[in-house]
Amino acid sequence: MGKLLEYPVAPELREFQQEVRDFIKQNLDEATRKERTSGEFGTGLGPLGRKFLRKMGDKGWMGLTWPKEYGGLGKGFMHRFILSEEMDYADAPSPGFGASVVGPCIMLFGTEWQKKEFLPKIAKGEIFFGLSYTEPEAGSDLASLKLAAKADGDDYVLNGQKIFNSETHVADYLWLAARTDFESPKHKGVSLFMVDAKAPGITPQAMYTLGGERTNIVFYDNVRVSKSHLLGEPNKGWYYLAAAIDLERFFPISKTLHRLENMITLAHQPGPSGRRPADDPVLLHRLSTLVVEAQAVRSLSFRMAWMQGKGVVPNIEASILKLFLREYNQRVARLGVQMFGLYGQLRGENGGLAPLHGELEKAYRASPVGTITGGTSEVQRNVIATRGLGLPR
Amino acid sequence: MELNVAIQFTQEQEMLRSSARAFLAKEAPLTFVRSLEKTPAVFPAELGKKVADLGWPSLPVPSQYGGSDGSFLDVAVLLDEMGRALFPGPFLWSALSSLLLNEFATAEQKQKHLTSIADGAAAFTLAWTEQSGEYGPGLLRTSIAGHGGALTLTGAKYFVPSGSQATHYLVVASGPDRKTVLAIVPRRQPAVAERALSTTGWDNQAVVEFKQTPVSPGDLLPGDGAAILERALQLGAAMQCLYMSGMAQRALEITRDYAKVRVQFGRPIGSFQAVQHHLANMAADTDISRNLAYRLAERIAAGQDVAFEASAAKAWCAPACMRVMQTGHQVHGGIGVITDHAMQMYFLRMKPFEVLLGDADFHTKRVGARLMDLVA
Repeated sequence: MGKLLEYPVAPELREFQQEVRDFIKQNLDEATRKERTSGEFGTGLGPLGRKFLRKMGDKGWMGLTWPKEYGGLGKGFMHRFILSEEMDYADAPSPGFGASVVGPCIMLFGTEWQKKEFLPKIAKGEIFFGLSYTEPEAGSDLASLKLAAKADGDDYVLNGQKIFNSETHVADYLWLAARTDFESPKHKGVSLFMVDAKAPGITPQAMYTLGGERTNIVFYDNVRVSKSHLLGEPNKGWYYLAAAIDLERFFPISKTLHRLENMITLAHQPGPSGRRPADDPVLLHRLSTLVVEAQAVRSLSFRMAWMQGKGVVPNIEASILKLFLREYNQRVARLGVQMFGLYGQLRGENGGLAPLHGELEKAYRASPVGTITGGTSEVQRNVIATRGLGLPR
Repeated sequence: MELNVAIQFTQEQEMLRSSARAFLAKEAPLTFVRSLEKTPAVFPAELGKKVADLGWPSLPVPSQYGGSDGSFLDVAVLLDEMGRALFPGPFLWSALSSLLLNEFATAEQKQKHLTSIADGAAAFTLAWTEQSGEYGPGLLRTSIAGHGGALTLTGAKYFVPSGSQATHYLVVASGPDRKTVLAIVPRRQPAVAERALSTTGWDNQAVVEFKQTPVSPGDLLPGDGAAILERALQLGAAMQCLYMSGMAQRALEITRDYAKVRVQFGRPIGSFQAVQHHLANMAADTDISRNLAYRLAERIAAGQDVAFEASAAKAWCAPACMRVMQTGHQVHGGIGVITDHAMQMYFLRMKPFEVLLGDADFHTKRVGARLMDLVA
């Protein structure tokens, strides 16, 4: 890890950083990394990924920033920043949505039973969540979701369809947004559920992206979920969701900067023609521009952790990072293939003939989705303009 | 909307910011800034006196030379506010010169010149570029000849910032031994002639000619001139980024305010998504510029190496802040281009900061020359 990834961190954080690096060295073998980058297992929930995450759970790192009473270590957000950047750099399986979204949401809004039932297991790496928000007719306009949760005795009965749910086939629980009130305005009829992913009536149907990632259409057909699994109170799900997203928004940048490091190194080695790409002043200038922009990305990412560490909730700051980072990823991906000319288009299946065994080509193919998932770039701009600048809707 | 820059400012720095903002609004409003367009070479002496009384020029000067021992972050806050207000005059260049003098000058030179900068009697600037208009390595035509106690300086310096406002120049020249050297030269003397240039930004760049100007050996900064210039590029880039991002912040606010009240098609134009996205882009460019500028200032204040960071910041901030100005114009429509409007003042005044001490391409090339250091 070179200078691009160095952060001005305090000495005790340096120690932690070294501990994380040692942990990765010991526990992240090539097979686990391959499984993670295969795209088959969502955030990294394959058999090897789970083993790795379980070890993270043993270290207490799944709930690094959580209070000790919930199985966490009570560390600050700079720790979390270091951990996620190091893991991202190494292509390690991600702690996933249980640790980043569900846990904090339950801590804030859950019932006592929910806290006891779910938090320790999430913190230990025993159970993993998949997100279940998006529907065919509810993408950016998520509040229009229609999947119905109708009360029936001690249960709710779920009927409807979700799409682009990438963990359904490997998760233990689904973090589901469903409509519990069809009469009220759309923001006021949504509830959140923790649903057993193996419950009868849930059918995930595979779809593959151009980047080779598996995602699913998910059918919910008379799925029963106990009322005890509804987060907090009914019809407040939209509010819970917004609060949770603000609290825990993290966008690791190291994978992209790692890619950029590889590009810099390769640009200074002779290519098939015998010439070094960096000897072309136009290419060198483009590459240098990406390095300049990397500084911008770093400063935005560092600020997020800094604010969270001070107990300040980043909101517009998170939108600006998300917007800039994901568009930047695409610029890096584009140059990553363009700098190798005809060779740039070769997929990993060509082995050594493809630069970096096709890693850059794969990143290029996977890049369009970055400005779409987690709130499109247009939605981020809307948020910056209306919430940030106070422009009228 | 000034977003977080991840710095815990001290109470003194917060006070410096608010008092600077209030002072500039009262003593140097945009009407004043615009009035100088008729005479860009002249910075009103009474305003210079008020600024000196506030202690601004003394901020980067150590107390042993009559300064107030401010950190680079203090200077950063001031430059940010000056950018907001489009505050003209030699402050940035004189502060840059103070920092260079403090790092490189002899004790005698510091005693003589830093004290007079601190009390407002002197203002320095850097006379570097020549007719070539380039900062890169190359033969300097300006030279210092002679030996012993009788040296003379001959040559012409172009694009000298605040060239008619400063009292002293730090002149970059080829020394008697052909090595690059910086000489302290007072402006007001018979063998120095300056001619103000009329520029896009209405600032006071000048051509300064030295005709066998006498220079004493005690007026040459000791050490390697190239190292001093390298430092000038780094500190200068940081100071420009702070000033530019302050400008961008204010231009963003002016544009946002206008978009809220300007009604077309029966609605404020700020309610149209096309306009909102223009403003969101302005906000992101501004915010990122400010963060890069303050990250850099923080590193400088901590005494860390910034050769790479300074160039990266300038290479990012200059085009980003210029995009803010251009987009601000687009949102303002016709009214923004009329010469009594604030928008065009910000647009025009960005230009000198973009090009002086190396533009974005220049600094991107400097980054390019250091790429392998980043992955080593």
